[in-house]
This record gives sequence, C-alpha cells and structure tokens, in this order.
Amino acid sequence: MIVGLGIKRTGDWTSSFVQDLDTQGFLKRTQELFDKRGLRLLYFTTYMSGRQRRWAGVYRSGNWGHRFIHDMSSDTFVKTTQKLFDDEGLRLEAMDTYVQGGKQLWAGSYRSGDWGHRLHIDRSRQAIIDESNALHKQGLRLTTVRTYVKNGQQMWAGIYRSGNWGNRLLLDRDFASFAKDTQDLFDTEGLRLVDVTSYMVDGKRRWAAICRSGDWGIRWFFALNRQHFAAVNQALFDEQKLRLTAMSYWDQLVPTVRLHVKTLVEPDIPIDTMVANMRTVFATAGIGVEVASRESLSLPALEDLDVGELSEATEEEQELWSHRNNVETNELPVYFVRNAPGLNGEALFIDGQPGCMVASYASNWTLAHEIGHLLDLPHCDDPKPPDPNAVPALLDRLMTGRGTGKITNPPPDLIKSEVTEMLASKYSIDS
Amino acid sequence: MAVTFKQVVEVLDPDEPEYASAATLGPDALPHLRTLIEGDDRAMASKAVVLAGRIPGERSAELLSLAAGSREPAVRVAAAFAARNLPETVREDLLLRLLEDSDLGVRKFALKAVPPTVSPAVRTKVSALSESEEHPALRELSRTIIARSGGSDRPPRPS
Repeated sequence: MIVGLGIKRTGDWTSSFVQDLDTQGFLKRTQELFDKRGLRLLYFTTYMSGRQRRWAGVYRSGNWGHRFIHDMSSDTFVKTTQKLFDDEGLRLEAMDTYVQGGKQLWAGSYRSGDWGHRLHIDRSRQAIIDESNALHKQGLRLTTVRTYVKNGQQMWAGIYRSGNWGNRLLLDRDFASFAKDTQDLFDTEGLRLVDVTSYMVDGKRRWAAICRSGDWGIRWFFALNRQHFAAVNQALFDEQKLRLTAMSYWDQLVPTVRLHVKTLVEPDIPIDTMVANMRTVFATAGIGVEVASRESLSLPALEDLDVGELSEATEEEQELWSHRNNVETNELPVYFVRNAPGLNGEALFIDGQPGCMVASYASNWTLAHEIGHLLDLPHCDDPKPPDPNAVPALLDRLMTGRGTGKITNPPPDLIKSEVTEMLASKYSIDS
Repeated sequence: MAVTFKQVVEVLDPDEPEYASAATLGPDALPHLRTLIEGDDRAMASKAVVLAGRIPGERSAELLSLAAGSREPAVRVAAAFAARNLPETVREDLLLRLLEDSDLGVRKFALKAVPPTVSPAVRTKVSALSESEEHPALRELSRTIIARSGGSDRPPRPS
C-alpha cells in the first residue's frame, strides 16, 4: 500500500492537488492547470503503484515563470538546472529522484526568482550535513533534501536558497522520533516542517526532514493509503483552510479493509462522509480503508429492504447480497438502501459471504459500526434496556449498541482488545 | 410501572434495536410511540412503527393506521412492513389503504403482509395489482398471492 505524509500550512492562495497520474497524465494535467487556472507546480513526488510509475503534485496560484523536467540522468539534471538558471533565471524549487530501467533519474520543477540558489547531488550523509552547515553561514538554506542509493552507498541531494531564516535538517529518524523532534522544534524554536522524505536504511524505514522558522500555521498528517491522503487533505482545507505544500509517499504493508460501495439510494449523510468517518476511526487501529469499487444498483424492489426479524436472512437480503460485482475474497460489499424497516443498518454473513446494509437515515457512524461487526466486534454495552441485566451505555465507543447517533466524542474509541480482534480478522488484509 | 418517553427512545436509539425485548415495554409505550411517529425524525418514526406492530392490541393497529397516512414514505413503508405482525382480524383495513399507496416499497410490504386467507376486498385489490402493478416483481407477487388463495389472477369484470 502506498502510504503518505503531507505537510499543510496556512495561506490564501488557490491550491490544487493531484495524485495517481502516469507520467503523460501528470505532464498534461500540470500544463492544463497552468494554462487554464494559472497554477504553478509547487511540489511533487513520484512513486510506483504496482508496476506503474505514478506522480502526485501540489499546485498554487502565482505569476512566476515555471518549468518541469523529468527522466533526466544525474549529469543531465545538473547541467539542465545550471542552463535554466543561466539562460532563463529559473531556480530549482522541488525535485525527486527515482530508479527506472536500472538508471537513477531525476525530475525537477523550476520557477523564476532573484534569490541565490544551489543544487548538490551525490553527497554522503556527512557531506550533506557539513555542506548545509557551511552554506548556512554563507546565507544559503537547505530547502529540499532527497536520498537514494548509488553503488551501494546512501547518497544525498539538496537544494539551497538564499535566506536568513532559522533552518534545521533532521536525518535518519524513525517515525516516533520524527514526530517528536519536529514537534519539539516547533514548540521550542518555532521551526516549521517544510520538507520530508522517507527511505529505507538496513531494512528499517527512516525519515529526513527540514524545518525552518516562520510565522504560519502548520499541520502534518499521516495517511494509510492514497484515498485516505486525499480525504484528510481535503478535510484540512475545508475545515481549517490549510494548503498542502509538501508530501512524501512510500510503500508499506498496511492492514486494509477494502469496501465495495453499492448504492441503491443515496443516504442523507453523503457516502463519502461515512467512509471518511470510518477511515478516521479505523486509522486509530492502524487499519486503512479503501473503496475498491463503486456501483449504482438499479433494484427498485430492494430499495426498501425486507429485513424480517433479524433471526435469519430474508429472501430479499439473500438477493441483495448476491450482487457482488468486483468483490474479491475477503473484501466487503456495503449496500446503501432507502429503508430497512426498524434498522439503521445490519451486518450479515449469507452463505458465508459477508456484507452490510446501511439505510438512508443512518448515522455518521453506522457504516463503521456495521463493518466493525463484520470484523468480529460485538456490541460493547449489551445487554441493553429494557433487559433487567442491562449495563451502562458506552457512548464514546464505536461498538456501542445504544445507537451510533448518540456517540458523544467523535471519533469514537476502539479499545485495545477490539483493535486486536480487527487486526486478526481476515477482512483487514495486509496490502 | 409506567413507561417513560425516555425509556422508549432508549430502546429505539440503537442502530439495530432488539424489538422482541423492546416489546416487553407493552401497551404503556404506545402513547410515546405515537409522539415519535408524528415527529420529524423519520428514523425514529420508522422504528416506532415497527415496535408498535410488535405490541399486541387494537391500539397498535391504530398507530399503524396513523403511520399509513404519514406524508413520509419511510413511515408508510414501516407501517406496511409492520402490518404482518397485526392479527389478521385487524389487518384488512390497513392493507386496503396500503395496497393503493403511490410508493412501490409500501405496496411491496403490503403485499407481503397479505394473510393466507384473503378477504374478497383485499383479493380484489391484489388482483388489480397483478395486472396494473408497474414493477414486475410485485406483479408476480400479486399473482402468487391470488394463486395461493385459490383464485384467478384476473380482476373481476365490472357488472
């Protein structure tokens, strides 16, 4: 699974984000955004999805000159960068490096400007540290760092820009120390995370980052897959007007629930909201949620589903559950219906096939709750009234049996034993 | 002990209410169910109708009749769904209304609630649906009901 880390900051510019584009699609989209909306590529990264090279980019409004190059050998990249500077005054602003056909290739985006500028590649770990310190004293700040393996050695590349801000380079952090150190630098020195990259060293994942002084609001986030990344990115824009400025993607096994959304009737709460809520709460268990397919089902006679008495599957439930287009082994279909008299949703195994149904008037959390049932989670506060043995309601938990519409502290909690159960389920697939 | 509105809401709040257990609240719950059926929350109204259908007595039938006249399709659908739990002796008037409903889901559940022994009035409605119903599955269901009751699937000719 491609997971990602995004950096967002306050700002007032128009912003756009793309991902999962092949090289030609990325070039075309970048040109379109420039031609039609005046947006400039601000930051990009490239990654492999299966055997396909994919690109993600962040764009922002601006009025500067702008250029993007890709698939350059190391020598050509350095020479082109110098030529663009000499001939057109363009400064390298963002870069990435990748292996293709056994060759180390480079891509870069450039913009017009009047600042001092430097590109260094093929540096050892110690060399990039020493150089960045030496150049700092000369008024050049490291703004972007990338790492790659050359002849068996971990090598580093950096972009420098003239400036007088505080700057700090972090190398070889594990995720916990990356999170702690970036927070400490913010708290104690007011330094903001501006660049991040992830890489492997001796079989362990490591992070490098650059933090700089500034006065803007900042937030970084971790996402368990690209859909999660896009959803969190959009939510942070909608809710806090934060703009994406940098990101890093890497391949990592993630336990993932793969949903197949099958819609008979659109619910009151948008499906994307329900899925986003489910992602939020499942992420607390380290489980990703991926919508593997979406399908509209024209089944008018099943829009109001006969759920019978819940003791056994009705003929209508059996018929609905038989619509399993695209659903592979250990993946889960969810059917959105208009009415299921008496129920907000239900989770059922019919002939061993799992699935769940969500009614149009369901709560924000019903989808996540029903999928929780399919992952073997029972209600956490049964029996419920009027049973004389009823226990107190646990309304801060996803698996409350007292109504997810009454959940008091969104996102609701999953306790440790529930997380263990979910991770053991065959429906949270390592992918 | 009197049943409170809060108790009724408490048993209907769950995503998957346990109706068999909730029905033990008994007829004292019915006034509160009426309030919910007449309210604006269609999820709660729908659940209230289903619970009313699980509580024996004529007053339950009155609530289902009230629900059958709701402007909210979800409430009428619930009434048609719950009708199957009413005694056959009080089901007929409700079915006669629901079988004429403009909503496909309401008609479907009404057909499913038609008892094995069909009165002439209900049989006439079902027979008409076997010819005129827009949805093929419901036409087929209508014909099955007519066949089950031992009659023709054609509506009676006007005299």
